[in-house]
Amino acid sequence: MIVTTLLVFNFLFSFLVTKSKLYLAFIILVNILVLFIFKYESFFISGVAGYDLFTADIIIPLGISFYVFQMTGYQIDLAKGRCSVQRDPIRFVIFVMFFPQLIAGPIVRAQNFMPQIDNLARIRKRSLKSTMLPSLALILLGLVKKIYFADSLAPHVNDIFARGPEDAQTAILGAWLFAFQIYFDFSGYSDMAVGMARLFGIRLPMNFFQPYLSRSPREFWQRWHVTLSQWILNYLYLPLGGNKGPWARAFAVLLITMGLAGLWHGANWTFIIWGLGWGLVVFLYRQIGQYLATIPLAGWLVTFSLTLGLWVFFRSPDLHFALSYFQTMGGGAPTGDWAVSFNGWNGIFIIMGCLSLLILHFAESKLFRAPVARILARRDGLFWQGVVIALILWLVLLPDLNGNPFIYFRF
Amino acid sequence: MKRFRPLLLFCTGLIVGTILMEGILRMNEVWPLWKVATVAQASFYGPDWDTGYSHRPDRDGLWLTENRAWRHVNKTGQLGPDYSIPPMPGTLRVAVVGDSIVESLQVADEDTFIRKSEHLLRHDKIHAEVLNFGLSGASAAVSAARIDHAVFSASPDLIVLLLKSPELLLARVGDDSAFPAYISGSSNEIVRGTEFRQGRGFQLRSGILGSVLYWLLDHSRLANILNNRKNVGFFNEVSNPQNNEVSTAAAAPQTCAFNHKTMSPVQQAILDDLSYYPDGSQPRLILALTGLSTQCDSLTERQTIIEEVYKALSKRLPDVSVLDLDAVLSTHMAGPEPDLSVLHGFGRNLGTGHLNKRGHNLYAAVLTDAIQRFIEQHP
Repeated sequence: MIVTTLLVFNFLFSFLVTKSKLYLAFIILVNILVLFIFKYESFFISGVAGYDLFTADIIIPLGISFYVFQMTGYQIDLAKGRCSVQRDPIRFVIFVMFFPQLIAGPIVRAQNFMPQIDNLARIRKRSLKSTMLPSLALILLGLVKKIYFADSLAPHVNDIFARGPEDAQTAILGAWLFAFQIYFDFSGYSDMAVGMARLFGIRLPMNFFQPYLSRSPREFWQRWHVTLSQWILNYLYLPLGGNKGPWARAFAVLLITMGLAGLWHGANWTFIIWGLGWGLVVFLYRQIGQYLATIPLAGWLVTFSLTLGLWVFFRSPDLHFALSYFQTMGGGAPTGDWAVSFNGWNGIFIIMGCLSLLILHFAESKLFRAPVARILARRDGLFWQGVVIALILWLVLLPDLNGNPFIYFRF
Repeated sequence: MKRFRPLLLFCTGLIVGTILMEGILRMNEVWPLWKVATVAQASFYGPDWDTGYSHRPDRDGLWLTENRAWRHVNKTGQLGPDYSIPPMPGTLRVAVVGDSIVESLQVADEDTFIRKSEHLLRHDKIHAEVLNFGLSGASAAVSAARIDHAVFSASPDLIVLLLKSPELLLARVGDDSAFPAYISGSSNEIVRGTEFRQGRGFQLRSGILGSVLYWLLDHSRLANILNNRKNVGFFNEVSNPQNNEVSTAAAAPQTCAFNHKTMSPVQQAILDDLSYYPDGSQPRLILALTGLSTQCDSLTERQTIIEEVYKALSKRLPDVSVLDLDAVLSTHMAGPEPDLSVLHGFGRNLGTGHLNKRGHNLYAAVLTDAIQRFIEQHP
């Protein structure tokens, strides 16, 4: 009902937004209002700290944050003349509701996606032939990330954040594992979405480029949830003035943008602080980044450490827990009673495991190179398709997904 | 032939992919990778003529529910190492019977209270051998059937039975379509019913098709994945004992009454069953009633029940002892009103589920203590 109403409103207003800015303002207001009512009502009205999105039973329309942003972006692009209006309601629905990316992105822009929908009817089976195996391989990669890695890390992360770490090493381990859990979880979904879309002949933008290899906070946002970062850049940060003007103004714009990006994730102060924290980090890095760049690996180390620290806010149920967690991380009082033993071989294996997650991240960057794509295109035949399909089917059968839904389905 | 080549190529690919997945799952079972990696949960249960279901002998594998542990079912179908029949001279053989709390699949054998109490007894110069006769979802009737057959065959010197108190206090006529239960016989007497033997599922699982299925489960991780993914119908090996357990607990009203003079026919049947082996000989028994703290409001009421059950059992058995397990556990814990829930659950699920490390340690201390006292009182 909500989705249909939104679709009808947005489709009808897409013919009007070019005529007057009032129509554009109205439809943006409608979209934001719907998002507000279904996602943030309790947060603003009751003033509560918000839901713990990782444990609470939340009821929000699936993927609402994503398609509302996509439709809003479309209306703005139309008003600015960056794309032409879609007159076919079915094609408009496909643009908004294209099933692979409906729930958690990538968020696509009309000027890139609409022409592909228009071309769908013209796609020939032959033209898809050499893209079958690469597309299936992307789906497989996404499933491996989600089921093999994210779901294996999830119970350990959940234990640490539910019981609270007792010592510094458990706290650091929790932050480290969550950083990779959320990466594997979300980028796994995105890879699957891109792979599935390619099976239909539609090319969606990649959403992740191994973010933990970033050497600056700015680079992190060019590698993490790229389509949301671009949406925020194009429709929020730049219209607010971007980096122009005195430093105080630029800082304020950055804080507002990142704070809102944090709030987009959910009705909880932890997300807002996470966003504001990123704003602060990006701003400070602008000032000191040039000095860090002269020291080998310093940029990466600082960025990676700050990322881990900020993830603590993101994953914590409330601000009090997050602050206590930081205290434990620094060797202070325990947050809870959960301690992972680092004694003897256990400690060695944990450290090796954590480092191998980072090495895997690096190895993944080698997968998206032209030689790999060429090998996949060359091997694209029924035998290898069968191998990959069998692996996909078995991976789908492996988990009980009810226990570990995709993290970004909550947003 | 050329026409079928694409199909053949594709099917070969599917088979190669399947073999690859099987290999990956087996590779993940390498220590310590299995502690975190994606693995298949082993299938330990199979049909049993006496108890409806039980552990299949000589099985190894990983248990993943609640916690992860590598477990082994011995040649006689109990969790833990093999043992000699009859016992070695000078060895005190103790059989601990009960449900999944005794079974303790969630932790490694050396971490179970069974093995820990064995070590504690040996530490106190008692050469003991403690055997695990726990079976997930085992009711009073299932435990009695287990004592009559599996436990009797092991010739123990002492049986420790952990029994949920509502089973004895409520003692209602049950449903024997999935496993043994106390039912009304043809002349209204209470008998241990075995209707499950006529069930389609039981017969299928006990037949050739069942043998093929269990062979597959024993030799393929992917078969286990499929089995765990859709644990219904033919694949329903255990008739979901945990579900039955939950429904029994949910349906069981609070009851705090037991009188050895006015026992119901079902109560009498349970105690009669526990008092005799099939050959007419009698076991030495410690009956540990669990969950009395949730049934009764006061400790005095609980003590009265324990005394009454003891009176009823001592009329039947010369060597018997009855415990209020919750009370004994509480005395071992610090504080005026100790919270027993901390003994259960793993990680974020602390408070619910099976015994955790702390729980096993405390149960081991209590069990060791109970065995030592029993030996002193009944030499």
